[in-house]
Amino acid sequence: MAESGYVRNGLIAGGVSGALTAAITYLTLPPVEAVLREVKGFVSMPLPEEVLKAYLSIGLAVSGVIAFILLLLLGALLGLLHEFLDKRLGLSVVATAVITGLALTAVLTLPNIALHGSLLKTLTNAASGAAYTAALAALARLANPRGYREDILRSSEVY
Amino acid sequence: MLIAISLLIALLVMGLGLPALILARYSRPSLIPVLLGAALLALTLIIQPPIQRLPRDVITGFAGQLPYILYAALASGFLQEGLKLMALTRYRDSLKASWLGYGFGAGEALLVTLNFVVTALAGLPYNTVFVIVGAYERFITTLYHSASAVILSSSRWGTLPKYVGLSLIHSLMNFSAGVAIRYFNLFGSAITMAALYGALTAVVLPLLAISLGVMADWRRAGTSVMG
Repeated sequence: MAESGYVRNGLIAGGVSGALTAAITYLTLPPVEAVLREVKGFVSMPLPEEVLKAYLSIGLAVSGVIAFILLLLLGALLGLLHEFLDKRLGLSVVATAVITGLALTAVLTLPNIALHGSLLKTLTNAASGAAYTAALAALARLANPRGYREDILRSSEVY
Repeated sequence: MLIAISLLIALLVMGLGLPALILARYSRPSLIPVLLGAALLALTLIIQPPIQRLPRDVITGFAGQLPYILYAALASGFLQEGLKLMALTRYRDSLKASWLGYGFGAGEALLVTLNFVVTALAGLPYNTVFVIVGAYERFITTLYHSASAVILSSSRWGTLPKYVGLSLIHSLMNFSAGVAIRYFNLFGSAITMAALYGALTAVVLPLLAISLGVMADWRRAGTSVMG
């Protein structure tokens, strides 16, 4: 059971966004040879190419799963931000969900832009942020997190 | 293969198992704060690299490598303790705070373990001694993160002095490691390794003792403000 309705919604929206990101990651996975060419310059140890290739292949294979887990965790964390904003700003729960989603989009895309990362990576991260925003806003409307605690208390009184 | 599995177990036991056993003696394990700590680590992994890397060329160009190592250490110390402090505005319960810090450290330990697994599976060479030392480093680091979260959650000593103090201690630990790697051949010198990990242990153990005191006080008071 989630700690609050906001965390629950954030976790679900993070799962939606993470699944999309994992799918895009696997669909646009670069060939291991291309990554090998890129990282060769950074490797100072004299390693056999086959071994390095095996390392990178495993890394690429788990990259989507790692992205999914990261977004799941971040989604839940941003759920706490949603709760904070909803209690402080005095706006509708959907509006604060959109602000929260935009905050995640900024966190995901700005570092990539600042470090001159690839355009594909920036667009993937922007899509993750957009999916999170849409899912969180939809959940805020369909399963309003403001009433979550009261629901639990009411059901515990019944039993 | 047997050595690799033994090292994997050592990494998991030292980075996750042993700190959890120590903490469990003082506070009941709590999953949500652990996950929140891991989520804070995920956020750190995204926002810390640009903060550290963006001014790299400017600092190294004007002042050299050592000031850049200092800057990177200060950035990580103040950022990580700041994120913990922000999360702890919700978790004022010192017992739960210990598990939040544990989640942060355990997340790091899991990443190190994952890196070792991929290295071993790919057939990349690894040094057994370095992995064992790395396992000890994860043990000390997980305990540090837990202790700092407990101290930050405490109502004693004032928020700003605690935040600045712990951030400086954290930065100093990172700075020492950076200097040991860059200037004192950390992975090639047993003396440097012993000096660095001895110093880190000497810093973490008193913090751990203070945090256990805070947790004991909290338990005695029995005033859980968190649901």
